[in-house]
Amino acid sequence: MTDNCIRSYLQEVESKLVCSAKSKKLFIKELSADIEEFVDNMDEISTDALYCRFGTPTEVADAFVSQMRSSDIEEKVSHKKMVALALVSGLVVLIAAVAIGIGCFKRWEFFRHPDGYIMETPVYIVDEEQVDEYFESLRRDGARIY
Amino acid sequence: MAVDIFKFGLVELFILLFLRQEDAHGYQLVQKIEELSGGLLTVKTASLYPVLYKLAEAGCVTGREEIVEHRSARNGRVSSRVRIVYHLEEAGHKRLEELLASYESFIKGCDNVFVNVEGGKEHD
Repeated sequence: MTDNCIRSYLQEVESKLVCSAKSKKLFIKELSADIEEFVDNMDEISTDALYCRFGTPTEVADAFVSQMRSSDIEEKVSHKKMVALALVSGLVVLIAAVAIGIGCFKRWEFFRHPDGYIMETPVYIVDEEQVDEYFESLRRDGARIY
Repeated sequence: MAVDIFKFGLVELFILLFLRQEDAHGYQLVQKIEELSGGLLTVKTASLYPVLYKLAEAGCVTGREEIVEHRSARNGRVSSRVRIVYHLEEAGHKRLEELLASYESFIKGCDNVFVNVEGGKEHD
């Protein structure tokens, strides 16, 4: 068994644990040390031996959570709900802010010139000798010149 | 086949009982339960730690970090790792006395039930 196996085992256990971050961190730290000690005492190591000694990641997580106080689990679940609620609320506020911003910008654009819109006309300066050539290039681009 | 003591609610009692003898980390407690019961009793570490954390929260035990050196049986290398070693506090001694009294009542109660049922059978 490689260190990667142990690492992935611990990661799987960690992902399945439903408890406070503090308890999770502490338990994973202790479980990791337990596994290291167990592995050190074995002549031959296998995933089966690890599962037999400590249980599958699901069994470990279930056993741990079954011993937790229901208030801790409720706290964790309500924390998750709070995070989800905060994310949804944040998204709604962001969308509303963008919509209001666009509305305000359009109104500001409208009232910026109360007497009408300003038409901006581009002015191109072309050498006298190149005028014909310039018009020709415009025609080639599909412009109608009167 | 070893019986999981978690099913009988004995994890807390055994933890306190062993810690009264000497300070130990979680895995040592698991090993002691198996060793001293002659392999008849066992407990999963995942069932043991939450009980230890609850006892620590209640002030019955305290944990301190210690660097423990260990020689690998596989390759003979000495490795050191940080372990949390638990110590029984005064509140833990009191809790242990309570649990031992409850356990005594429980055993006596069970005995009474078995004697009465078995006695009843013989009487029939």
